[in-house]
Amino acid sequence: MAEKKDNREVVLRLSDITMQFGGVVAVDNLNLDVHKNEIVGLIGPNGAGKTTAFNCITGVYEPTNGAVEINGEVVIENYPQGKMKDAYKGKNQGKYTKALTMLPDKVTKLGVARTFQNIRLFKGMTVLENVMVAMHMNQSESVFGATFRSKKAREEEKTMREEAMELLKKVDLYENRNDMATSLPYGKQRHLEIARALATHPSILLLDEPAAGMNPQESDDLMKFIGRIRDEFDLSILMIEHHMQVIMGICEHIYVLNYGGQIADGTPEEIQANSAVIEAYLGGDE
Amino acid sequence: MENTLSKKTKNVLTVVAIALFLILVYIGDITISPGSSWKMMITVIEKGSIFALVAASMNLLNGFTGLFSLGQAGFMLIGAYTYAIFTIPAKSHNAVYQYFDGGLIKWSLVEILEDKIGIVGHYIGMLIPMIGAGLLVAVIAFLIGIPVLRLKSDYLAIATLGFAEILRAFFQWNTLGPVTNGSNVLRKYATYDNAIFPVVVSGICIAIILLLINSTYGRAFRAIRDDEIAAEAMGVNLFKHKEMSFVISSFFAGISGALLAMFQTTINATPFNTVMTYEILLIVVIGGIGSITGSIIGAFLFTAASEWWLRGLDAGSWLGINSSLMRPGFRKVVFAILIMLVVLFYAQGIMGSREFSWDSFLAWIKGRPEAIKTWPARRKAKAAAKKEARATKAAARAKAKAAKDEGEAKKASGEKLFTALPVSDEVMVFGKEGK
Repeated sequence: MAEKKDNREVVLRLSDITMQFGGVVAVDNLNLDVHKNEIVGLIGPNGAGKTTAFNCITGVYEPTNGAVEINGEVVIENYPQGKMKDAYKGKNQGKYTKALTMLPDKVTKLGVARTFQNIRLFKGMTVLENVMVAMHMNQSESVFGATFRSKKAREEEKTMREEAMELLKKVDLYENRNDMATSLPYGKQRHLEIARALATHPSILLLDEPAAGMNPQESDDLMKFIGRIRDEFDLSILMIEHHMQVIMGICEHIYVLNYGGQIADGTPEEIQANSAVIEAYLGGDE
Repeated sequence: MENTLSKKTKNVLTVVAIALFLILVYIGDITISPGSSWKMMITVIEKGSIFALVAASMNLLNGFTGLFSLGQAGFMLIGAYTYAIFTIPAKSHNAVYQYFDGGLIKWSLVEILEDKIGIVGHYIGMLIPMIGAGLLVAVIAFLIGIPVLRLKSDYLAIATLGFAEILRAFFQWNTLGPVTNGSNVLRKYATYDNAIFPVVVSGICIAIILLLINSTYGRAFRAIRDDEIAAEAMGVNLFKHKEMSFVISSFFAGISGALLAMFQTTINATPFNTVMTYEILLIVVIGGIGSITGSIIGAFLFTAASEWWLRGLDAGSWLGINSSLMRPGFRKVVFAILIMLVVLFYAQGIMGSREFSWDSFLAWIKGRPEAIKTWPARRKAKAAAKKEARATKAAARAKAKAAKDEGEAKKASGEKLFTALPVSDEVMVFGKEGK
């Protein structure tokens, strides 16, 4: 693998992440770096373990082995314990000795926001409310103050609302702010999911198949949109995607997974020329 | 909408409506003689407002936080007992706790405060145990919530239901007799003397629940209801918010328990069983899961139907109809059928997840004459649409049958049934660019 020197600081680093469910190794020894302001792609055939890797980063799953480093600090680390000690099939057993876990909401507070493969908007709420939920964690008023509308609560609510409006303007959803989230067309729902993630003030954004179900025109727009928010919100982005135009057009670095294992990484040009990748996608010579 | 009211007008309307209602209740309770059949209306208002409060508190959990909890009757039980125990007059203790040497607590908060500061103290002496009942229930809910709220959906319902049942048995335990009077009734405790009391207390509590739901915490609750995983990913601490909702809901269930104790004037653990929980759940479902307005309407309708309008069915004569079928218990049969009809034709409940607003109310009123006028036409249109749908369905069936026949024919003649699927888009693109 061609190791390109990147002088930017690493904001997200996965070291030897392995996720084993029973006897199935869903993610096998994944090593991945995301640098500041970089857009990194994670590709692989269906069932390669891409979303599982996302879930390991965001605290939905506890990885069986390995560590996740966010902004230079190890926040999630685990090693095979209990029954898994003998059942473990992955590599690097014994390299990690600490068991650090973190709940998804804490990971979000650290500045890692995500979107979902199958859109998960809050169905019973308007577009504006969807975004405002994501700002809830940053408000400091207690439940009593908020219920009885203390001065602080009213001010916080006001700034929250204004900020949410501002954000919706930036993602072209301002006109739809009072519509129910589920009444939006599909493409706009995707945009809203990203807007909602942005409302948590992230420094790292994880996008799980943002272009799924989009036509070429829409994916082209999405590509530009992702580039724009990266600059505007000073983000580092890790994205899973199947649309090769999107991935090849926007990512600076690509990691390829197959059957949980990492089979290649490099720039889009390197990946396109990589024989292991072509074999994984198109099947090798029998 | 073309004619929306200004915020000020709405506030004035709300205040006037509430004041008018309260005055009517107050005067009604004073003037209507106990023998009058209209007295039943006052009873319905009292009991209805108490059930409106507990239904609203259950809706906060089930409809707004998405926690399917069935512990409400148990929490009401604690509330009712807490209130009653601390307000039984000292001289009545020997009569009430006749099997337990006059009980453990020999004083009444109401009497103590009344002696000190007069009539105001009397009411403060009632309010303190009532709020104390709510707080005690909240503390118990907090402790129960720690293990129980890790469960999801049906499992949570079973755990809370089981807890409520255990409580019922616990309060009837003879060893606790000096406090709870074992399986005997508690009576002679202080109660209110005008129907306005439960209406005002319930009203304030429901207003607080509404304020909570419309605050940023309420938004977080609704986010949890809509999608737990997404809510967590947006930084909402699941456990903290679920616990918060559970504790607050239980607090208000405790208050309503205390009010119910006052309404009934005697209290016993037996009626606080699963049937009561289901009645509350029924009110929530009939009114609309996720609508406080619905819970209030549902509570009054339910109470009016079961206590007042359908009473005649048990007594043998109802709306001038006399039948041998109408004997004690028949009311419940009719009631069950009514509920089925409501659930069938208002699947979302009366209000769905909408709330009352003056704008929509006025629009609804204004739309009535028009709606009544156009009703025959609409019915015709509906019938026509139904006919058309039936026709389309029949056509589709015919088409499907034709296609099937064709397939059978092809199969018989040995033709290929399917053609090969095209290669998917993503692979094509990759292949083109990659090579």
